[in-house]
Order: sequence, then C-alpha cells, then structure tokens
Amino acid sequence: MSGPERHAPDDKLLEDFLEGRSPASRAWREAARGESAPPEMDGAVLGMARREIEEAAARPPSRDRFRDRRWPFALAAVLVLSFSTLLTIVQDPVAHKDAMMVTPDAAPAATVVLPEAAAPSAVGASSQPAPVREPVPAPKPQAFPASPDAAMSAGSAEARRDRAAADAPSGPEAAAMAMPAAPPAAPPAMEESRQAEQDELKAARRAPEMLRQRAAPPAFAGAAKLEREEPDSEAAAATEIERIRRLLAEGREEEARQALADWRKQWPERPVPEDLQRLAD
Amino acid sequence: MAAFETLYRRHKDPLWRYLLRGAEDREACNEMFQDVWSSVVRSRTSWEPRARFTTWLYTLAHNRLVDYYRLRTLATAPLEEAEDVAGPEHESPDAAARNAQLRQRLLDTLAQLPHEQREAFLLKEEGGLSLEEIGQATGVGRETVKSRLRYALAKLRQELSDVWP
Repeated sequence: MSGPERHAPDDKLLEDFLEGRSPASRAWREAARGESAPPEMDGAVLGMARREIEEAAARPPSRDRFRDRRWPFALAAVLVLSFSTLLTIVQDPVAHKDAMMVTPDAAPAATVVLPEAAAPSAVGASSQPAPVREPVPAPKPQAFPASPDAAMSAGSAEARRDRAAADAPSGPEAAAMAMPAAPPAAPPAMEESRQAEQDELKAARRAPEMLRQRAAPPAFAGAAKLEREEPDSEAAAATEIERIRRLLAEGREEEARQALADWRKQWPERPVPEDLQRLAD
Repeated sequence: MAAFETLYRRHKDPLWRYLLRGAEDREACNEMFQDVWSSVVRSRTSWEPRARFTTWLYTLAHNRLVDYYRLRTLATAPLEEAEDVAGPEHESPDAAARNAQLRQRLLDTLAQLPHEQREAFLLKEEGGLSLEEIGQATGVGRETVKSRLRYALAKLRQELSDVWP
C-alpha cells in the first residue's frame, strides 16, 4: 500500500463514503458541479465516431463477417473434399479394379501387405487345373524394389497397381473376390504354363517375407505380427495343405515336398497333418 | 450513432473529470478523453456485455491513465498549478467564495494522494463504481480497493477536519 498511515482506517468512514453520505462525497459533488468536458471535445468525439461508423459501413466485409460464416464455409469445404475424393476413387479404373479384384497378376502385389491371407487364396484359386492363357511371367524385379521408397515413389502403373492391391481386402474376402476372377481351367499338359505359375506363386509367397525384412517400417511391424495371428491365416494354411494334398495325389511328390517345406516355414507353429508327415520327414 | 451519442452524453463529464484529476493536466486529459472514446467506437463490435458499460469505460480510461503515468513517470506530487474551480452562479458571493475555497482544498488534498488512492476515490465518485467494479477496472482485489479508499478518506478527513466533523 502506498503512503504511510498515521490513523487507523475507519470502516464507518468507508461505509458512509460508499453510501454517498460522506462529507468528502458532498464536497466533491459540489466541486465537480461546475466542471464538464469542453464543448470542443463533443464535436471532436462525435465527429470521430460518425466518421468511424461511416467508414465501417463503406468497408467491404471484414474478418468478423467471415467469422460469422466460418461454419458454412467449413461444411462446404468438407463436402467438396469428400466429393472430389469419391470422384477420384471412382474415376481411377486401374487402382479401383486392382483393389477390388485380386487377379493372378495382382496376387504378388496383394501379398505385399497381406501375405498369409491373400497369397494362398490366390494359390487356391489357381491350383485348379491350369488356366488357358499366355504364360504368366515371373514377378519382375521392379515389383519388389530394393528400397521401399523406390516402390512408393514409382509412378508406373505397376507401382500404382501394387499400392492399390495393398489396399485390397484381406483373408476370406480377398479369397472370395479372387475365386470368381480366376481364369478357366486348362489341361494339365501345359507344363510350361504350370511352371511359370509355380514360379509366380513361389515368388508371391516369398515376396512378403522379403518386403517385411527390407521395407516394412518399424511402425507396421506390430501390425504385421497381428495379421499373422488373425484367423484368416488359419484358412489360408488349410487351403495350402489342400493344395499340397492335390499335388501329392497327382503324383507330383517333389513339388508337394517343396510346398510343404514352404508351408512349414510360413506356419512353423502349426502341426503338419499326419498324412503329410512322411513328406515332412 | 444515436446510441453512442446517448452513452457519450451520459458519461462524458464524469469521465472527463476522472481523467482531469487523474492526469492533473488539461491537455493530456483532453487527449486521453478522445482516445478513450475512440477506443469505445473501435471496440463496439467486439464488446460483450460481461460487465456494465461504465465499468468497461473506466477500465479503458484507467489503462490510458496508466500509460500516461508510464510515459510521464508522474510523481505523486501535488499540483503545481491547481485548476481554478468556478462556483455555481446562483450562490451568493460569500458562499461562493467559501465553497470555492473548500473545493480548492479538496482538490489540493486529492492531488496529494498517491494515484492509486486518488483513482479509487475518483472511480467511486465519478464513475459510481462499486468496490468490485473498481477492482475490476484497476485489476486489483476488492480488499485492496477498500484499503485504498480507507487511506484516501482518512487523509481527506485529516486535511478537511474543520469542515468534516
């Protein structure tokens, strides 16, 4: 508090003052009676206010007016963005088609993200008698670039297809979608075609592991582990076992042995069925 | 504009006296007076009725006075040139002389108060603000305002003891 004080403050004095009964208040009112703002101040202040209001009226809409309309603007922006995103999805036929249909060509790409689920499904679909079609080339090196950045930055159609396929549904959904897309069966005599297909499928099974080791960012490692433990994996393992049995039934024992070895690598925690034990040994 | 003019006519004299007694300088008072009303006009769209207009007006005036004190580093010395206060015209010459003398003493005593105490007194007398509103305008608590007013009144009473029983 400012100033020394020689008298004890008087609450009664304060009460009287606050209620306007204090002699100081009366004296002050008397003193103030003759004092008022100079008339020139009236002109200056009122003129300034008039000018300010007129200028404000003549000014274009201010920031405050924008503030009043910010919610409609925000809503319109959200609608425009949503519509354009939807339009982009609908109008991008390659990405859209590849994302929705896991064809044999797209299978390797599909396994990039969902290897255990999608690849065996595709395998199951194509393990029917070999399709009548051009020999399928083995996956090109560009499909699995050494660097994940290269894969992501590649503007080619294949890279785009890979990304689209990576977004494809997983597990049974992918398998269900892949089944109708499988081409019609072909006579088993087409050895060349079958060999190419085998190569493709092997690459498809190995590709995820390669990519996981090379390219999977640490942030996705946990997600990949979870995917491995998903129930879809069980169906894929069973499908693969069925395929191995068919190979065995067709007398292609060496291929079946190899497939079983791959199967054991992929699902090491699963027991080998009894009827295939001899192949495992 | 009409609403502003109504407010202006209602508050202009008390505000002007508050600034005059706070600044102790008529020129500075006139300048601050215009500044305060200019602030009122500029802030008219952003003002929200969370407090009385009077409280808001005197808050603006207080802030302007604080700026003035900072600029001038005004000491709490008494006025060197006291304002001459004319008495009302209807008073008799003797009464007018006595009252003028009393007013002058009151103003002199008020001018001797520390500006915090003087301001609390003026906000109550000119602005008609309550203790809480004075605290709100000056940025201090209610008890601080009470304390300032007690000291100010004690000083005034001491100096005007012959007319203040």
